[in-house]
Amino acid sequence: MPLGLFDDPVLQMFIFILFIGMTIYIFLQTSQQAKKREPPRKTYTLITCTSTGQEEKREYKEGDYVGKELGTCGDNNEGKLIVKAIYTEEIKPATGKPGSKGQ
Amino acid sequence: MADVASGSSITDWITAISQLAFLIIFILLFTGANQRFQMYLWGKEIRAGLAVLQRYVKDAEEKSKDLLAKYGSKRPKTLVERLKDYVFISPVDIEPTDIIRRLDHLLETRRAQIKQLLMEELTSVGKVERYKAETSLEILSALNMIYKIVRHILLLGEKTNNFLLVMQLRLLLPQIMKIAEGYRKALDDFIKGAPIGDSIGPQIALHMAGTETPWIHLDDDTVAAKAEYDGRTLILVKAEGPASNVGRPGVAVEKIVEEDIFGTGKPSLIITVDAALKLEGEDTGSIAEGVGAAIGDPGPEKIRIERTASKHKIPLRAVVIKMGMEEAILTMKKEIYEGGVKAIERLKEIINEETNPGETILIAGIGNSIGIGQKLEKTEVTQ
Repeated sequence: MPLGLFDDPVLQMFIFILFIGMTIYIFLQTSQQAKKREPPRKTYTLITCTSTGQEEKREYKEGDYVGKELGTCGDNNEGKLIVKAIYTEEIKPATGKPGSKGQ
Repeated sequence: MADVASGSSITDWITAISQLAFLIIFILLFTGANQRFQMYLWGKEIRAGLAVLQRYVKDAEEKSKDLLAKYGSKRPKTLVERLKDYVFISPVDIEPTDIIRRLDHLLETRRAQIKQLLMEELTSVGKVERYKAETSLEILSALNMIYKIVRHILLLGEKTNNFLLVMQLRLLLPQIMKIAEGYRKALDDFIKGAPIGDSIGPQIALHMAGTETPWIHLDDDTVAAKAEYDGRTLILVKAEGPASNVGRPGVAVEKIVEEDIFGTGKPSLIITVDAALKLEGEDTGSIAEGVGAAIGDPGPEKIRIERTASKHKIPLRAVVIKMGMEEAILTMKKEIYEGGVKAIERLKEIINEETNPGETILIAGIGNSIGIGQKLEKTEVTQ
């Protein structure tokens, strides 16, 4: 070794082991693909009443589509219940604070 | 003295081993062994990805077969095998004359042929179900193509010992897997029948028209409606829903302007509304406006809109709702719906600023109309 410092065989062995250890560490790090999990989502149907403009959100049912007439609404059934939108929302985990009722 | 001699012997051995190890590593570096080892590791990682892709293809195949059998197909396996490897040969592009006409003809032939095949096979179900089956087969075909291309590049790279080919494939693998994962999830969402992110254009057209407005057919898959907004006439175009269908918005825009289908005269403004791929860092559902035809077809529809606007000197404006590639083919997120609400406000601003009362505005809601219905007029005025 050109430098006197590296003449120490124990130090050389230490560097060698360190080198091998780092190689294994980098290999393990790159081979483990850190997968970000998307939070779960739920599909909802947004329904509106054409006469009152009131909106209601319920779980999506197969056969729902935007613009679908679901029935009548309003005080005298003068309006129509129409599917305004269908979309997904993230399901947020219930916050379990002490004393709170949760969702 | 004996202990000192023994200690010296051990340190000599350690020194010899360490120096030999360094020497071997040094020689290996110069003989390219590190690259071969690296190629082996990359190949192993690609093979793991390939196994996942193969599983996606098999799953999609099973789901497509089940769907076809559910809809009354007597030979789902044959149909899946036939359409899984359906190829589309692009027209000659070294001679660009009439390339759009040729491309349009080939796309239309493909569409009509698959439609005919499914109509003959699925006789007991309606349009919505037939289009669902068609979309599931298209997704299967896309997944199969991804799997085959990845496998081809890996095998070719290994066969020719092409280090760079395998490296590039490994570097692109996360993106390829993301696209494939999107298709895999999209298959379930299309079977479900709810609107996808790309449906935001047709949804905006429907909301601009209002729920009571009747729509008329312009062709088998495209519909249009006339509505009023602030003293102006709006003509709205979208693909017919709620089936999985993108329609022919270019043909529709051309027809409306050239043939004056609604008797309103030439529009003073054409606006296209569509989903657009967001750049990393941009928010899903953010909107942008600009000039041009916002439509992502291979060319024939877009060029029709551009040619019609330029021929009649009608300003061509665009409003886009930003989303990721995966978000565009999965069930619509709330952020995209909210983006659509903002886009409607922006459309109204553009109309108020750039047109006068009494004028006609043509709005084309571009995208897949899956999960977006419309009230069809009983007696239609078009041919």
